[in-house]
Amino acid sequence: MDSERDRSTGVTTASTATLPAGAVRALDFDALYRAARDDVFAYTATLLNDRGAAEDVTALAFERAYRRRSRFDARRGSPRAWLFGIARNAALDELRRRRRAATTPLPEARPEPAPDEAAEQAAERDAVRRALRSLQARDRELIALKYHADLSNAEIAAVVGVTPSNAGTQLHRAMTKLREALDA
Amino acid sequence: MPDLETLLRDVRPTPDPAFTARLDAKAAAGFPRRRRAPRLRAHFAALSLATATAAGLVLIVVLIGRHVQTGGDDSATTASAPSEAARDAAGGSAAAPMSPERRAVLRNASLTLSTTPGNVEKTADRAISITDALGGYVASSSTDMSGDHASAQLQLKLPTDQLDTGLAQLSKLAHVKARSQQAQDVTDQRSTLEARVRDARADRDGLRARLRKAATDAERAKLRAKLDRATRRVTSAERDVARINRDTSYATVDLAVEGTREPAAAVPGGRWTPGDALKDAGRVLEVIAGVALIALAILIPVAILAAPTALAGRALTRRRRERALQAS
Repeated sequence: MDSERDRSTGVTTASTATLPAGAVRALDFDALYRAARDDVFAYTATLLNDRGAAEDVTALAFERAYRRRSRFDARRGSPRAWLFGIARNAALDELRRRRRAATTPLPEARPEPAPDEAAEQAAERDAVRRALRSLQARDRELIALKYHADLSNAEIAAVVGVTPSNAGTQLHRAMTKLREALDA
Repeated sequence: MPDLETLLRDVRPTPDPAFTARLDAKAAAGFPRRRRAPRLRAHFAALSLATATAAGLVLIVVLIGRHVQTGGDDSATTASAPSEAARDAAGGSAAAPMSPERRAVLRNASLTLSTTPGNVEKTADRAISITDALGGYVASSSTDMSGDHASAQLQLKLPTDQLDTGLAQLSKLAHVKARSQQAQDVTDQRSTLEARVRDARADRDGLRARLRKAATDAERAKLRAKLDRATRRVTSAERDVARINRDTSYATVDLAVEGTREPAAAVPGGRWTPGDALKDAGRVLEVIAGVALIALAILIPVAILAAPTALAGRALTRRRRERALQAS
């Protein structure tokens, strides 16, 4: 998971408030925050299709996780799975509350390629974004957890509450639907 | 064209730097709560604590009060008895013991008090004072003071309508070890005796009339003998009626005072010693344990009710979230 921790960049290194000794042993919240901040945002933004809502949900998820950090049980899953479970609940609560689609477009964040490739790659990415948005929320969620949050199948299973093999199957189906949407 | 997985990673949304800066600052500050929520929560916690403390104190006071009343401190309770007896006597003795009532009920009670050996005699004296004040009398009394052992047996006669008052006052004299009351309706029995009096009087009056009309000495002598027997029957029947009236007018209280309790103050002069402090501490702990037990008795059923409700609530929330996901 070291590579995953590198996903979030530019995170302030200031330590969070002092944690209880037992909690520190069980969960390094500061490290988890640094490693997962951008991933949680990416996941919630893809799921909600709304940048503003994703920001709110990301902040809420980390706040809830911070308050509940002493309740984290390493035997029940990895810290990332636990955190994304909290983020998922917050996102679904937001979906329940709003029941509306995204209003803010998700901008391209990657560095622009060379000028001769730019148009082609931009078109491909737009197509992927459109296809992703056309999927149902459950499929979008699985893809976001896998490719935007870089969770393993076991972690995805823990987050959405299914078995790891079932998570793999559902993810495969979601990818198939995405390909079909791209080809359409 | 890059593969789909690479493209998906390429379109991964990235947060706005302004947002991440704000979130980092929040994280560094330990996600401070918004102002309203903590204030409400703090008040709620403080109110809960205050309520629980007040309830606990009230409970402790009530329990200690009850403990003292049921014999925890003999001297304190006995001191108040004579004044209460006198107060009740002021209004209570005015009631006539022989007040006629439609029903005749024999009432009696037995009461066993336990106190320290040194207090037995004093308790017996106070019982007698109460009896006198209520218009009753002492039918018998005996006190046994041999060595460390002390006890007293009294048979008190209290006006029937003062029995409940008397028992209440006697019960305050010391720790009540046993108490019982019995009642027997003898209305029919009294009616029979009264009828017998009326018959005997009628018989006597008839004999007197015949005696007045008797013409010979022999007849008069014979009638006088009959009249004497009839008069004795009348007297006997009247005595029976008077006895049953007396029995129903006064209730019998068999009072036993046992000197079986340990003296409360071991040190002469009544000084408060470390031993007393230890005993008091034990008593306080007893009361606290009692309060905790009562609290548990309240909390456990509440928890039993709350747990399934909470589980059902969580299941419902989970289902609603999944529905929201399906619907999006």
